[in-house]
Parts: sequence; C-alpha cells; structure tokens
Amino acid sequence: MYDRIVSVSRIVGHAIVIAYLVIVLLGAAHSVRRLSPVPFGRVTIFFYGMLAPYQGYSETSEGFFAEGLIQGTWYPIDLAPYYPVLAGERSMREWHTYANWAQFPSEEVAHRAFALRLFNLHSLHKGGREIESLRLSWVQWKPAPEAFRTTPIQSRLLVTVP
Amino acid sequence: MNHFFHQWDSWWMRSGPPHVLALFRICFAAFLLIEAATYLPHVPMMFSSAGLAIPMQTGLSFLAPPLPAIAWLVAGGYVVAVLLLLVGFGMRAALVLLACYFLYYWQLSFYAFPSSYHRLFFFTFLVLLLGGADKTFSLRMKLAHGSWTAWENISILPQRLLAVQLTATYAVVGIQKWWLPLWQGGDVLYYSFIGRWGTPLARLLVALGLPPMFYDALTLLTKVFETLIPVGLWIPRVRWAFFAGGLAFHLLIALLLGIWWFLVLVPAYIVFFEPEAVHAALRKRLSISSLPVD
Repeated sequence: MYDRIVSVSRIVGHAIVIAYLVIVLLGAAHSVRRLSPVPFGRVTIFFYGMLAPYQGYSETSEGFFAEGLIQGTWYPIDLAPYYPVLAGERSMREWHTYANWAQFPSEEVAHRAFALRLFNLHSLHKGGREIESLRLSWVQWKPAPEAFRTTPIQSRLLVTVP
Repeated sequence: MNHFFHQWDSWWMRSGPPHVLALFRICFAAFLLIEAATYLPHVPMMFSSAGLAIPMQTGLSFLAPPLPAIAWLVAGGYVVAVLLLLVGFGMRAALVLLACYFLYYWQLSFYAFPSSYHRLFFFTFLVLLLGGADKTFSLRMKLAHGSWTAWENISILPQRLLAVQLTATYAVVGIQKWWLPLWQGGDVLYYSFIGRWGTPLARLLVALGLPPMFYDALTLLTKVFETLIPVGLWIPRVRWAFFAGGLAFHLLIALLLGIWWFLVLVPAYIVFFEPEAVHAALRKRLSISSLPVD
C-alpha cells in the first residue's frame, strides 16, 4: 500500500514537473517572440512575467499632475503624501491607474474614479485646504539628473471633478 | 533510456535532508517581514477607505477598501501568517493565507503592477505548499520531537523547482537583452538612472557627466553577467564567485534603481546546493543529528 502511495505521489510529482517545464518554455518563447494566441493564456503570461523584468525604458518621465480650485485659482496638489512608497513604485502605480489596468469600462471612467477619490481624500486630509474642484492632468517631463519631474514638455487634461 | 529516466527521477524526486529548504523558508519569510514593515506605517493610506486604494475589480464590493481599523486587522493577519512561515508552524495554512493575501492586496492595488518579484513570491508560496520546508529548524519539529534541529527526509522537488525557476528567470532575462532593441546601448541605463526608478545616488552618478562609453560598458557587463549567472550558479567550482556577483548586482540595482525586492534572490541561491552537502556542512557547526527522526 505504501509503495502504491509513493508511486502515485511520484507520478503526480513528475506531472507537475513536466507541466511546469512546458509553461516555463512557453513563457520564455513569449518573451522572445510574442505568441498569439498565448497557449494556456494567463498561466503562461504569469510565468512570462517572472522571465521579463525591465525590458525597456523611456526617455521621458510621466505622471499625474493634480490641481485644486480655491476661489477661482488653481493650486497644485502635492501627491506625495498619497503615495507613501518609493518614487519608482509611485510612478508605476500612477501609470497603471492612467492606463486603466484596473479594468474600468474606459480610461475616462478610470481617471474620473481616481480624481474623485483624490478630491474626497484631499478634502479630508489634514492640512489639505478645502477645494471646490480638482482637475487631473497627465504630464510628460524631460528627465534630468536634477529631478525626475522637471519642466513639463507635454500636459493633457484628463478630467475635472466634481 | 532507462538510465536517463532513473537520473531524471532521482534529480527531481529523490528524498533528502530538509535543511536547504528550511533555510530558504526562513530567509524568504524574513524578507517578507521586512517588506511588510515598509508598508505597515501606511496601512490606512494604502489599504483602507481612508486612502488612495483604487480596487481593481470594481464589481467585487466585499473586496472594496475597508475601514482603517479593519485594514489594520487584515494587515495584522498578514504579519501573523508570515511569522508562522518564519517559525515553521502551520506552514501550509500560512502559505494558503499568504497566497490569498497577495491576491487581495493585488485587488487593492498593493500590487497594482504585475511585478516580476511579486510573481516570484507568489510562485514560491505554491512551491512551498508541496511541503518539506518545515521539517527542520521549525516550531513544528520542536513540538513534535523536542528539538529545533530534529529533521525528516523530504522530497527534493520543491528545491529543484525553485532552482530551475531562478535559472530560467536569469537565463531568459539575460539572453533576451542581447536582441531587445532598447538594450543595445548604454542609453537604457543612463535614462533609467534619471527615470522613474532612478535613486538620488543614481542621479548623482549621472551628474558626474561620465562619457557614454561608461553606460555602454555597464550595459554590456549587465548582459554578460545575467547570461552567465544561470550557468555559474550550478557549477560548484565557481558558484561562490557568482554568489558574490549576484549580491553586488542586486545591491547596485537596489541602490541605483530602488528595486530592492530582488535582493531576496541572494539568500535563495542556497537552493543550488545539494541538500546532503548542506546537511553535512551544518553538522560540523551545529549539533544536528546525522540521521532523520523515526
């Protein structure tokens, strides 16, 4: 009986190994030449993600720029307190919100949801001045050794709330 | 052919001492604790309704950001699960919990970006679920056999899966850089140092105004190292040199790009040692039995 259990566990083990190797090879193939459709879909993509960090870079910096309206004047809102993480992680989080990785029905809906959340949060946040409205833009900067966010080279207004 | 299958079976599935996997478990859990410590001071802002958490699946209302007090409780549960993994008690339950936590925090945009390192962590939970990592240096063994160093033979399979995954990660990451268009010159590192991931130290480096040749050389060195390390880690004669190289490599990435999560790979290199060799080495230093319990 024990031998039988052992042999069953070995068969299961080998099945795991072979399935794992197939998926890893597919993930590797996808990183070399984009497969379409991707066999085994999300499973392969998950393994591909472990094989493909840092494939590229950008010559521009990008991120959100928020402003609050107070008595007819727009003032910049410092977003740093809302992102208590390293700069790189913050930038990635902003980009994924901008690009709607959260799968809202559209990018516009995603931007509005984010802006409304920020508007409510900023109104509650200690030290945040009461704002009548919030507008959210996506800004590109030319990065420089002095700072990640320097002079804007392009700015696109995304949404004004409420 | 028979010989091949025997070798294959032995390499993947034989039984061996659990010390490699147990040490890996301890290092991995300690790393998760350190990572948790970086987020814990910011639980309300990052994971509660009082913060900027934008849930991924908007239809799942029960997974919406909770009130801050609940968010603290949930985060406390995460720390408990990591501690259980660290001490090796209720390990499988802890691993299932941690896998669920990763999915939950991903939903809450903790892992808003599908980062390679968090995928590796998630994969590790699944591999450790195969068992064996708590068969020594664990509270489980202490309670069952009266000694932290008591041990039982385990299947080598989880250790092999982790080693092969690390090899695959380094190999594919390294090899693809030889033809990825953006990795054909030093610009990739120059712009990375002043880009979103660049740290103040990296900006200082760029401000020195070093010639493009410096960045070209650094890029080439990165590609050569990432291509060689998946081979070098398997060769006992040069393994320690690649350990040192891996440490330097990941330290530089952490210092210059702030991507410090991959530092966990350095202690994970232990999975490249044969379990019998690590057991023998530990016996010389610790009072570890040469034989497994029962």
